[in-house]
Amino acid sequence: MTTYEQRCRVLLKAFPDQYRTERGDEIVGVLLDTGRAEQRWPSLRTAADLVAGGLRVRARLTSQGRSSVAVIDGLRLAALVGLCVQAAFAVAMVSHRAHDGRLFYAPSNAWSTGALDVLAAAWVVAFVLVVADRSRLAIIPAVLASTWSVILVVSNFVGNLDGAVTSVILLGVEITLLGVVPTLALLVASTRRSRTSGRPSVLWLAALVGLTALFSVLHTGIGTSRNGGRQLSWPSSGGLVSFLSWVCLAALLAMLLASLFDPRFGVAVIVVALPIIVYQVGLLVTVDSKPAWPVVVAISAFATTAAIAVSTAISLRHLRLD
Amino acid sequence: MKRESSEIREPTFLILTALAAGTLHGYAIIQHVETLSAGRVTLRPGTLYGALDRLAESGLVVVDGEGVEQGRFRRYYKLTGAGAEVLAGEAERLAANVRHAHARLAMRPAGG
Repeated sequence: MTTYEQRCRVLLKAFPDQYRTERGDEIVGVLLDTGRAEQRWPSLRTAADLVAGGLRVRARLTSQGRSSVAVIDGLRLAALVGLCVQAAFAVAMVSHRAHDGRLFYAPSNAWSTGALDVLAAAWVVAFVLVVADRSRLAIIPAVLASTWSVILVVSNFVGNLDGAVTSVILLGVEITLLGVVPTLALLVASTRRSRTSGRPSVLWLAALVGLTALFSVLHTGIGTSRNGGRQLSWPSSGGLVSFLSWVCLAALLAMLLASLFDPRFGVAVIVVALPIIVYQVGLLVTVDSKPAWPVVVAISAFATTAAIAVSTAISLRHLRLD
Repeated sequence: MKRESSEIREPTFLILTALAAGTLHGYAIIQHVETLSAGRVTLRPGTLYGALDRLAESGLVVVDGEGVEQGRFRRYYKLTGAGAEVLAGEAERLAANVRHAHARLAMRPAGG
């Protein structure tokens, strides 16, 4: 096998395994025919054409079947990712309470403090049930936790009517939306049968987003604690904030790239990124909560918006193929 | 989804045209398309096989044998009856366009 052929075969990895098994030798034969005798590298145009062709085949194979099935699977994936984030937040909040004594975005009273354990347990149970492919059963704890979250964040907002909207309230709204939106996705998805139930290949993504959320909340918890729970602090040493922002963007980007091969990821990006946009835009527009890192937040908001737009375009294109 | 003949893009039209005269393998299709388009359309493998997959799914072309030729694995493709109908329809549509264009050009005032 020549160096040129070896390099062509590397490019063929853009195609799905099964397709490569069936057509790989045939395509390589054409590449050898069209290449020059002394050629060592495929031309840039040929390389781009092969990669684009591989991605198109992947998209077509994935979207074979009805569009609605892909949308339902995307909603299910969004629910998985969202509930993973919620479970991570819940664990972080419980650990935060250990040194602050209350739920940081809820009113400071006994009933909201007691609510934390119920909330945390409900989100963790809902996530575990979705992972275990018991989505319909997961609706019960997810709806309970969503309702409880809304009550907490609304009561905090009512308690702060005299003051401006703080970044703590905004974060509470975002956390609540990050739970409510996936719960709604779960409710819609449960009405239809999934074609990829229990598919484990998406779990790495949920784990990545969950890990990001966990670190974010632990960091936020420390900042909130320093400010008496009224205002989030953005530490002067911005390394961690910056790092986490980039990790969040990397997670979104990973989903975005995955949506090129699989329309379900596009649907999931749209659903998961919407609450994040609400928070980021809120941070940028509220008067009293200007973060010390507006550029980072602005970039993040722009990237999230772009991710939603691109995902929408990609998903629509995928789904039109049916 | 089966494409209507009016939606056929030029590379697809040229592939169908190349196959109209008989069975061809992938590299031969690329050569014929280049010749038919006077060098204007150069198909690359990713584009060619994407088009062949779509045409096969639409029932316009089928695989008609395979084998090894000069150390290369070849798969041969041929036009189906449905493919010939679609090609004929598209050719008629384009021919009508050409006739209309010539007729309109003939009506053009001299010196205008």
